[in-house]
Amino acid sequence: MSETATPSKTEKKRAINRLKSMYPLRNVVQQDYIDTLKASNEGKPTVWSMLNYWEGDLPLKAMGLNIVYPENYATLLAASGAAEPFLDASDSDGFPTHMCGYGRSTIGYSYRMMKENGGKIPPDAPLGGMAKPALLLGSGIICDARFKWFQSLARYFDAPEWCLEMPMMATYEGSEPDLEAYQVKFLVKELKDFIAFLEKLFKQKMDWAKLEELTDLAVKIHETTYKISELRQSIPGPMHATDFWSSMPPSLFFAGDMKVSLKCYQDMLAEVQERVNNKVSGINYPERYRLIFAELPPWHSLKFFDSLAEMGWNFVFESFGYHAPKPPDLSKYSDPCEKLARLSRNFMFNVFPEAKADNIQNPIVETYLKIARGFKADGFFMHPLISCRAASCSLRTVQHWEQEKLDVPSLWVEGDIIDKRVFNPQEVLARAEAFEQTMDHYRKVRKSRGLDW
Amino acid sequence: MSAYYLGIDIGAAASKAVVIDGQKKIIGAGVIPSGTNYATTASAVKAEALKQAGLQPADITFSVATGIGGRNASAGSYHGVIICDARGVNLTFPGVRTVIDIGGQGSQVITMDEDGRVINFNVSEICATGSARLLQVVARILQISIDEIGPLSLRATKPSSFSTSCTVFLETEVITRISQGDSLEDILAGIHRSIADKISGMSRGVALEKDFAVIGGGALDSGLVQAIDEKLGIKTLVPDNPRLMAALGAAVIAGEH
Repeated sequence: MSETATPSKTEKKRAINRLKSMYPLRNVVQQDYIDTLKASNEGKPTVWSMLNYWEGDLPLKAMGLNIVYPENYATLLAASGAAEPFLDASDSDGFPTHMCGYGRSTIGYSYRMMKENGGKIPPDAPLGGMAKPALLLGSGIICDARFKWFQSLARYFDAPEWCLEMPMMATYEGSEPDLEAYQVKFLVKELKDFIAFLEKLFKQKMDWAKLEELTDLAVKIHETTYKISELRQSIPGPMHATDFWSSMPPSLFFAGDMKVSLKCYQDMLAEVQERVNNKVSGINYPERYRLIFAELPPWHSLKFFDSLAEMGWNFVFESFGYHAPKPPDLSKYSDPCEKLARLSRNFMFNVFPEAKADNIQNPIVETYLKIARGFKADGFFMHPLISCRAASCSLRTVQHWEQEKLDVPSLWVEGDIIDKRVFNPQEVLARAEAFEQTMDHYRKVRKSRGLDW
Repeated sequence: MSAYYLGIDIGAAASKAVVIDGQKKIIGAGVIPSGTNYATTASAVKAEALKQAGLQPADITFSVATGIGGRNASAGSYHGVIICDARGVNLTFPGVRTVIDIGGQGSQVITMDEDGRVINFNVSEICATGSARLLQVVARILQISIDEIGPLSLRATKPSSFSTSCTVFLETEVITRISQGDSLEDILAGIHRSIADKISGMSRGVALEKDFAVIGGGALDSGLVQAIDEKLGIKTLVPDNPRLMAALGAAVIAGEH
């Protein structure tokens, strides 16, 4: 069955009611890998790019460079059950097993490509693999492991690495209005330096009109995905988390043709709106519980959510770090770099202000409080990762304040994003059974407190 | 014809089975090591409990399995160990609202209501920290039986201090303490404090309410129970057969089928 096909009528009823509009978006990403590989075979350069919240993706695209995304590719390795040989290769080259799963799997990929396969793509790489990079674009945000990871990759390929920086997120100090001008100035300089470097490395000029066009498209994409997120607050939840995860790369990385992606997201918005109008759920079972997933998903076991859907668990929202906030109005700015700087800065500083009402002085906690209220959450599914401090260190605090402020409990399930060997689905199901009693209890407590869910 | 219900708990270290009658009275029980074939173990422990009860397999009205290997037990249905712990303790000590289960590979802190329904819980993380596994490791290093740990530790005068509660790293630290001349008793008491610290950390996520009970294999260690009491500032109850509580809870749930 092709990736874009919808399920046939003879198939068993699926537990999750997948959006039809999700499949074309998933296909955009998969086709992008295939197209990039084809371009590489024709002698065109490939850039490996880290998640950078749009700071670097658009200049690369505006110059017509082909991009692959190792973090996203790692999720493909995990989802296709192909990750283990790559994880083991990383371990065998001396990298620690408790390192980031994205790092481990793609270091293993690079090791096998360059040290075992004479520079050829490993034969078991899904979607034909990622071509050898001419440039690695790193990013200083989120965590130090990412920063060192791309340095390590660059050594396998003897390719240059450029690292984009961004003012620090997740602090209120960084959100002070007086700082905005400095932050934008900093980002504009980062972009101009980066673009100058690209022009020198690839011996071609930036297409400024194209960059502006892509930035406008980016805003439209984020406007659309933001509207989808807002609609998802409906009861029953019209879009399951797995549909979000499957369809997010064209918004998070701008993978693929952005005009095609925008049309696909507009179709998704229409489909979600239709579901809301008709009270159609994201699961094919009665919605008994509304769950929020935090933070990075177990990419190797997304089918596991079927078992929870069969229990009536609807994952109505997830992974706030993957969601673009409402985009800023960029129409008053003329410099394409400033437009892009403001779009990129928007993620770091504009998801938080609305959430300040709780006065907890922790933007991530307050954002999740806002989400729990808006989505009328019965519980949180916390997925701390041994291999990722950045995505795990706030979860206990989130758990504490969700319970304290809203009487919304959390189910705690340790795991890994890429390595399925540390995940025991049967054990999680056993805990889930007990957690239903917990959610039932706190539903009564919230009602007794006058909360409306 | 009388009704009899079977609960089977296939844990990481030990497997347990309990048979109760229609009045929820235990009439047979068995405990054996879990081994490596959970299906075979389930049959064996079930046979032991039935033998003690003087019953045949056909006499069982319904059975429920629990524990990490419980799905291999060919029982009538399966329920998670958290729910079964709560029900077993609720039958044994109706006034208990907080259960601390120290099992062979993991631990859990559970709060429950007056009907034995779970209010909240916290389960130990993926490593064996805070579990009875650490006691097995230490017993091996110190060349004593696991039953000796509790009484010995209660004679400690200056409990050893350990920098970690990780089972693997602690093994190394125990050897260091031996080389530094710490007594057996002090080392054991220090280990108990280490586990109690971990249990204390786990209890932070749930609102503890009295009465308290400690169950699981770790509850057989009087020194560990005392360390938990001291750390949390509570007085815990320990059932006569603390390892049987999940199997008992499973049998109670079987009776409601």
